[in-house]
Amino acid sequence: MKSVFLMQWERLRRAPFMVGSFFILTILFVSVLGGLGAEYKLAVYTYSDETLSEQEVDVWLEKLNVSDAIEFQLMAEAEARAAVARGDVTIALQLLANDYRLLVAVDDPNRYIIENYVQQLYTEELRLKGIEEQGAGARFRADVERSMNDPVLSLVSMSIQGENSVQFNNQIHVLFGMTLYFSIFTILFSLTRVVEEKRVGTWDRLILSPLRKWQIYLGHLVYCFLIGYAQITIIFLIFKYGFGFDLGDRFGTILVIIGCFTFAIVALGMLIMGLVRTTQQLQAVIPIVSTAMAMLGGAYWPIEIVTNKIMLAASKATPIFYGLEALRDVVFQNKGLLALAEPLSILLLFGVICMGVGINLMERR
Amino acid sequence: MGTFLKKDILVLLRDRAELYILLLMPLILIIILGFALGGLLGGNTTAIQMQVAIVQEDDEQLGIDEFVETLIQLEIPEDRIQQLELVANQISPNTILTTMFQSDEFSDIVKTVDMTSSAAEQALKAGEITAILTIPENFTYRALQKTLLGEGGGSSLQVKVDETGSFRARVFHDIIDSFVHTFNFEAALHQSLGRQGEGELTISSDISHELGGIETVSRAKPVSSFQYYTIGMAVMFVLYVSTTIASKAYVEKQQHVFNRILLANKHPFVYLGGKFISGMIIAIFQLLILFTITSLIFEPLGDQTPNFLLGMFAISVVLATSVGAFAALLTAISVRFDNQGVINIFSGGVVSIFAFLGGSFFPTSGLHPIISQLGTWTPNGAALSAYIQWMQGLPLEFIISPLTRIAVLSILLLVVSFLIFPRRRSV
Repeated sequence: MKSVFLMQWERLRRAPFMVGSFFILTILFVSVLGGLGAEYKLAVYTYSDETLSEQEVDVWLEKLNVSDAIEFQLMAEAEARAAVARGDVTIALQLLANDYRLLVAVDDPNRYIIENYVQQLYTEELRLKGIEEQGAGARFRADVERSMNDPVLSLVSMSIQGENSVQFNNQIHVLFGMTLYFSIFTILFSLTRVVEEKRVGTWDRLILSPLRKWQIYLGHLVYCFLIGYAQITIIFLIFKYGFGFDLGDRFGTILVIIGCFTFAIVALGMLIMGLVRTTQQLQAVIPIVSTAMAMLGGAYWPIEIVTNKIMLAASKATPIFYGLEALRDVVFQNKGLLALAEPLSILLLFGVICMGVGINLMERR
Repeated sequence: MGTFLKKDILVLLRDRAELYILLLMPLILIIILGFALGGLLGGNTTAIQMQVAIVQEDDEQLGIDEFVETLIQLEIPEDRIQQLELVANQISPNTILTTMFQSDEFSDIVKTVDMTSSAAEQALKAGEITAILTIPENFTYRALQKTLLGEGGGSSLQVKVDETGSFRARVFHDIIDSFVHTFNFEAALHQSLGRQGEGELTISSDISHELGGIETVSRAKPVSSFQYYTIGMAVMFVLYVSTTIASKAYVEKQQHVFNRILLANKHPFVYLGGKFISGMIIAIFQLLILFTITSLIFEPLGDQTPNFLLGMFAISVVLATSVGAFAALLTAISVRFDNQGVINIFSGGVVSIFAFLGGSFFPTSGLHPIISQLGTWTPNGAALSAYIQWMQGLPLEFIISPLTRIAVLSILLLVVSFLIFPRRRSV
């Protein structure tokens, strides 16, 4: 086993191109995503026509730009229309005398955030104006503002998470998802060596050698496991120390989760290799299987926004779903290993089944 | 070159498994995305559903009675008390809240269950409910006291969620937050009017007037999420054609087909040119088949006028050139360095990143602006925006610029691949 294992490292040393590129690509991509940060304002191009004077437009803009999350930028109508048409932005706002219009090209979830915000602001403003027109005094507006600063009701938000837990953050979710997703490629493509060896004939020579079958398999599998494990761990370390993401206090638990996930993917690789014969077909199958799994398992978006029952059931068949769930629970809910028994044991079970079926299929040929 | 083309296409047609993957997988993913996410990304909030526990510690009627009691103690004239009692009944926040919960709009999203505090805590821990809304003791009394008399500290609603910031928790929090804000605003109006002696004004629980509206950049409807994902997946999967072509080329190199071609006194560039054109042709077919099938089975991509179809075809051809160019580049690199790693990196890493940047998974407008900027320079991102603009019925000049970007990129890739590809002697 050791010799087969060491041979893989020797191969990596001689031809580090592929694995190295995957490492670098993933780190670059995830770093760009993580490094850019989530703290930027959603820009909404804003324009108006002759019905509003410049002064009125300025007043509206000032009111609109109170929000921390959205920035309304004034520009010429033609420019804003062109930007929406080109797809630079998905939405633009047209200010009218006592009304507004949203200009859209593609349905976009942000539209509803913007719409709610603008609607609330307009409604309040128009009510204030209406009352002022009925002859309320000049101090009326200031008076309302003062009352608003001392509100009748307030809202207290809490969560059941422990003291040490981290606030859920969609960006961390996407980073987790992307890291796991890319690691699948590294692991599966490294495993294609087995198919390659069978094609070239070295596999037969290894079988003739005193080595046992399981030793040959184990040599390959341990190598792929370590490569995948290293990739995920390094990226998580970069998050933690490079970008200062708060990954909670349980890094040890995270390491265990990475181990279970990597094992499941290595096993999945064995299954795929049992089903697919040539390297060329593998090259077509691997990206497609990984991408489909990532989509179903919620690597690109939180799985909770998926409501279709069939899709939810399908998501439970992907290891990435359990990996992400476990990571989320550790980081955001500060759960320990025992509390994670369910997703982790499913990952291990998934791995054992895939491995068993996969090796059987490979040996049958 | 004709024979090379025929060979490339025959080789692909004989490998059925790969052909199915190229054609069927995008279809499956379009269906996954269209159905799984369509509702929500399309803004259909009924797609989100959650259970929320209401812990009612407030006794509304008692609160109103106590309030009247206070009024009597303050020795306010009788008719004024009656008036205030009427207003109190109308604006009691607890009633408004309950009315809101029962409205169709709201009950489509949130199912409320009345629970005791401890039962609710348990249910939240068990993950049966998304959030607990606690209406504290004396809520009605304190709110009325502050709104109508300007005394006391008001009251507060309490929302407890399982995971702060998770999607559902945020939606629920926003709903309650918006309720609190609206109530405060109306109460502020009321107080100010009262101070200025304008008389009483009823606080309406329904403040949504006919405001706003949606306009599209052209007369067409906004592009639906199903249409969006059809295009998004198609422009992503068309990139896999290039890796398929290139990996076939690598096999030809290994099986010495390439060397025999050279021995037959053909210029190697003709071989590479063949890869470029066959990649392009297969890409065009893939796009056309995908668009036709989804249009027939699900939702047409636009009005089927000849002009529209011609435009879609033109965009597909330009996109296909870039696919052909990628096929040529990958062929050149893998043949030159005798290594198929680059093909794996492209199919595994680069295509995914392109797809992400180009907005194939979701529109990048919600991410950092730099990401969408980068996306416009990926062939799939540029093609996606060209298709969408054309589907919106925008004039030709709009799609010229993304198409130019794709064309420039294709030419660059082609030049590089011809530079890299081994000449006669180096093989």
